[in-house]
Formats: sequence, structure tokens, C-alpha cells
Amino acid sequence: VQGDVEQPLSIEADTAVFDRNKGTATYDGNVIVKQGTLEILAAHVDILAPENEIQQVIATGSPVNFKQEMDNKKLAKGKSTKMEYFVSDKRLVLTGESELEQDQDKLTGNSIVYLIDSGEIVADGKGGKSGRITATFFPSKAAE
Amino acid sequence: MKAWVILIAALCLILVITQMEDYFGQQYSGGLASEKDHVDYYFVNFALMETQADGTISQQVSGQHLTHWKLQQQSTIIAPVISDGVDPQQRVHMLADTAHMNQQTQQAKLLGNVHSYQATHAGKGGFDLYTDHLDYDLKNRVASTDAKVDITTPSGTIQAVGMNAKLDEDLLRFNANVHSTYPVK
Repeated sequence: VQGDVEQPLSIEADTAVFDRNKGTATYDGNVIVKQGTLEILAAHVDILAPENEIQQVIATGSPVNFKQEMDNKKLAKGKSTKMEYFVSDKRLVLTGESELEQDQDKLTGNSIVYLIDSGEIVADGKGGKSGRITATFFPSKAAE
Repeated sequence: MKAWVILIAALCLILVITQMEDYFGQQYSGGLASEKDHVDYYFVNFALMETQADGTISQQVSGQHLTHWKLQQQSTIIAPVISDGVDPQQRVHMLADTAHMNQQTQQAKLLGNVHSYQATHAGKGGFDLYTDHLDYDLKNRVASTDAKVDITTPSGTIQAVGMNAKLDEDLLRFNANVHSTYPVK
């Protein structure tokens, strides 16, 4: 949803370690990252927040799951073994056996870049098992 | 008749024994109690400072009242303020209702309405922490608690249960139920 990227980013976890010198934080155990309707579920999350401003969220898990409500109220969801969220760029990068679904359309590949603001998607098969991407699109209207 | 005599003698014996117990009991505890509770000195509106060789203050303990027991090397402070850190900009301050300090182990136990803070300088560092109780190791500069903590920093807020903070390494570890929020600029 458009306003998501302006919302504060909240993180819940079992434990956390903050290194104020480096401006980093590490969260472990049932980690939930939320920003508006965007939600990322992971086992482990690293945060980069130099100069007291959060810049990057790096989530890992088997897998990491994310979901977000789109402007048309339908759901976008995805999973991968690693997910990096570049907060100011509003860019989510899925790496490792990545899948992204928007409503019924589905995309798989080794890495998928999802621009949250515009909904634009860039997929790349390089480095994956097949080295290729697969995309399945459902016609929005049945053929007359 | 004989039975009556035995009964009265038994009662007298019991009376004598209880009196003796009371008498010795007072003598014994009275002597020790006074030594244990003997207050060696008492300060009002005080400040104690530890200084470096060059005269700069590295630690300061102040408060409204301080009671000290030399035998146990322990003090109790009402409305304590502990300030720790050579660099005034990095100094960490800790306030509470009460503190119990052990000079031997260099440990302070802060109890009730604990507030610890560090000022923010040029947008760097700085925090405000609130909790119910906090243990502070003055020698190793480590603060720890098993209570709920509420922390506000320039980059966001943190709530958690249980914390261990090494001030010299700027490292904070939270043990359970962590919830943090980062405003997005």
C-alpha cells in the first residue's frame, strides 16, 4: 500500500543485541518486521542504522516470508532464503529460491527485486538451480 | 497430697527455665546486634567523586542520605545518582529510589523507579532507559536487570524483558520479548 513506506518500522523478536558503536542491531528468534501492511517473518534479522537512521534490514531464514497488501487490496507475498529491505530506496531484494506472488500471478527465480512504491519487479535466474526464471500470469478476464 | 507437691515443683521448674532462657537470650543477641547494626557514618546531601591522576572525575555517587556499615563494607543511599564515565559527553547517569552498594565487590543494586540516561551530543549517542531495578558493576561498567526495560534512543525505541549492557563496548543485549520501533525519515 502506498503509505507503507512512510510508516515507522517495528521489529519483534525473542532476543536482540545492539552495537551502538557500529550502529547495528541483531534480532533472533521468531522475528517479525512490520511497516504498515508490509510484514516480514524470519529467524534472524540484522539492522543497519548508522547515524541513528535505519537504512537496511537483512533477514534470513528457511525460508523468510513476506506479505504486503497492494493498492488494489489484493495480497503480494513472497519467500526466499534471504531478504534485504533497503528502507530509503523502498526496495525489497529476495535471494535464494525466491518466489513472489501478486494475487494469482507467480514468479520464481534465484533473485527477485521488488520496488514497493511502484510495484515494479525484476527477476533473475542466474545462480539458481535451473539458472532461469518462471512466470505464471492469470488473465484478469476470461477470454470471451 | 504428695501429687500436689510434685505438680507445684514441676511448675516452678518450668518457670525458672523460661526466665533463664529470656535472660540469656537478651544477653547473647544484645551484644551481637549492636555490632551488626552499628552505623559508622551517615551523610546528608552528599557527593563522592573518584578522580583520575589528572584530576578528571571518572565516577560520582551522590544522593540525599547515605548510611555506611564498615563491618560489611556496605552503604544504603536514598535518592542515589550514580554518574560514570570520564568523558562528560559519554557519561551515563543512573537514578533510583534506593541503592545498596557493596564497596568490596564494587556492585550497586538500584531499586525502584530506575532511570538511566546519557545525553545526545551532535546527534550521536544518547538514550533514556526506565526499569524497576538495575544491578550495576562499577568496576567492569556493566548494567544488568531481569525486569522489563523501556529505552528511547535517537534511532528508535526498545522494550524488552531482561538486559545486559557493557558500557565500555557500547553493547546492549536483550534477553526476551524484544519489541523495537524505528521512525523512517
